Amino acid sequence: MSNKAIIDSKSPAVTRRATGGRVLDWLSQYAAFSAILLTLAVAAAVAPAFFSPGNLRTVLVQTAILGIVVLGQTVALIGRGLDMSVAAVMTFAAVFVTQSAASGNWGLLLAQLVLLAVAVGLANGLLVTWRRVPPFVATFALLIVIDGARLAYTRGQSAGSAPGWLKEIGSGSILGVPIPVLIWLVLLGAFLVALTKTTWGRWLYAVGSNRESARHIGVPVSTVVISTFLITAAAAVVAGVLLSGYLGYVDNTLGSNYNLNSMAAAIIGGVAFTGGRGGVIGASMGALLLAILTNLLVVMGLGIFWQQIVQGAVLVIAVVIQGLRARRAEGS
Amino acid sequence: MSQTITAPARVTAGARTLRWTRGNAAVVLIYGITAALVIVASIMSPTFRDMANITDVLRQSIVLGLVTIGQLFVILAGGTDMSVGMAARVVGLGVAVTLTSTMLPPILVIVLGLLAGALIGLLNGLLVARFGAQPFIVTLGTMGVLYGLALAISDGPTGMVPRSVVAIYEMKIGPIPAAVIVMALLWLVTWWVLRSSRFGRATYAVGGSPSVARLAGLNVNRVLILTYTISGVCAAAAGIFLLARSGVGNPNMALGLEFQSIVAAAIGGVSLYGGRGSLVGALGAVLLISVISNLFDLFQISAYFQDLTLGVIVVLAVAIYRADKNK
Repeated sequence: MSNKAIIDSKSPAVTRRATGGRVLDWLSQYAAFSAILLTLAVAAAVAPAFFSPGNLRTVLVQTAILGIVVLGQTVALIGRGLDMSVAAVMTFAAVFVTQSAASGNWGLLLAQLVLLAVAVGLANGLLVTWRRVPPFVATFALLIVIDGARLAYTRGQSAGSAPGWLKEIGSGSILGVPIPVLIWLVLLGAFLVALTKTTWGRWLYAVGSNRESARHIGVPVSTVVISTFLITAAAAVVAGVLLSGYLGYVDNTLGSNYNLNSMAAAIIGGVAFTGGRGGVIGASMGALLLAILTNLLVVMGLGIFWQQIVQGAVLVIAVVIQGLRARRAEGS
Repeated sequence: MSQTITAPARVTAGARTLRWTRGNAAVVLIYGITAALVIVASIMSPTFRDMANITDVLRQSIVLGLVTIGQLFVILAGGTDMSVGMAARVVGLGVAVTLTSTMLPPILVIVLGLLAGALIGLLNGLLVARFGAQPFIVTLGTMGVLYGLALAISDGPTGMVPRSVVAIYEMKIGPIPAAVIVMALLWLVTWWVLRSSRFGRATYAVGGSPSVARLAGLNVNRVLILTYTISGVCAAAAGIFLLARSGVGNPNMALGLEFQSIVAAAIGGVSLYGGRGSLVGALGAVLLISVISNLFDLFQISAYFQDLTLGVIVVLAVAIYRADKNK
């Protein structure tokens, strides 16, 4: 191909390519937002009960709890990692909460929760940085260890109810806004500032885009990567505590869908699984989308299996959009 | 790749053995641990060294073995297949229900089940190869979809399986279950394919570096799609074998196979970044995991501690084998 042909952007092939690229760019940024509008339109048509104030409140609280996990998952993905252990951390945190309800020893509870987040975050981070284990294997192995530890610790009986004050936080409101939503919004603001205004945020994007370059310009790569896993674990602990307060009880499957959903939310919200791209606003849109979709299926009275199918499909579609876009950016 | 270093003309057999051992430390270690475990268990437990128990261990290794063979192709080509467990479950339940509700001959239903597995794998392969989707995350998505499908088929035990299907599990040639012999042949065939066939070498090449493989004229996409399709068929076969073992479609079947198969590859010395590793190591890991779970049952260790132990073993295993610096 001559230079002229490459420069001539009016040739149909080039135009088609560019259009396809623009569509993918647009999709990767606004897929979650447009899907939310579409889902709301469907809800208006087939399930008006979705818009009842009580149900909307449920959707918002579920968005908030998923949204907190998604904040952590987004940080991990931007650093070109991911965390499969968040579901197990959530459930274990909830177990600690119910045990403290019986004993009333809040200092011990706080110590347990902090220890859980630090131990899991450090284990994941060290496996990934020091031992160069792929993040999905490291965090998946930790998932098995944490779940196993919880089952051994509780003898398979992860049951019990949350303390009263936590139930009030989980289901209470301040000025009409559910408290979990307030907590989520505050955290969202904090993450937004941390990612866009701080040195750590710039480091994180650099580490996710290109580890070697980041190292060359003096970024402490390993420390940044370890920090991402500490953050995902901490976010999962907070979400697990809030979820147990909101539900009022704990069982063995409390956190089980949050691995897949948090990844689906972040990626459909424009966070690239190739690292270095995306932010918490888009990811939060993704969380809202998943909460709305899941809730709508319940309101429509469809079988529980539809939730699994739809959540899996959202993840597949999100990855395909990002994959095609990354491939185009490579110019292949 | 230390194995490919050309040996000087005259090296003693001893030096060659030493070099091989160094290059395959993971493989030597895994068989050493397995052998040690078997010897200790045989001395301590008369039940363990019973011939019936030994063949049982081998028979129980078949499900994980089948899935691991498929997973091995995918991992060697640089991918991961998280959907194998749920693929096995969907196919197992689907075959159970079809056998019960239709009059189709069992052999036809089984072939259809294997085809369904191939279709699932083909879909995964297309998503990875044609759409550039990250293998782990996209197969996690198909795993979610398949889980939903399995729930849609049934959330309780379903479908009685005819004797001819149960025979897949029970049939014996002499004292040895026929399934064990077939499985051994399958390991042999796979060993040959990975070692000597064009496709096997292409699999390693694609996993080592897709761009180099492409420059060398390999059809990278076709290799990728084929590896996921093989994985889908293997998962389906595992689901059908599980069905033959239990006699009914169990909605909790094949739990955790995706993790166990990845673990088997990892502790067998296969690089999870693709391109390096051998089938021999993975087979050793499958045998080790089967022996361990048999011992758990013999010594009646609580199921809750089994998960924890497996998890700790995995963390230690992946922590010991530090991945290559240049990957």
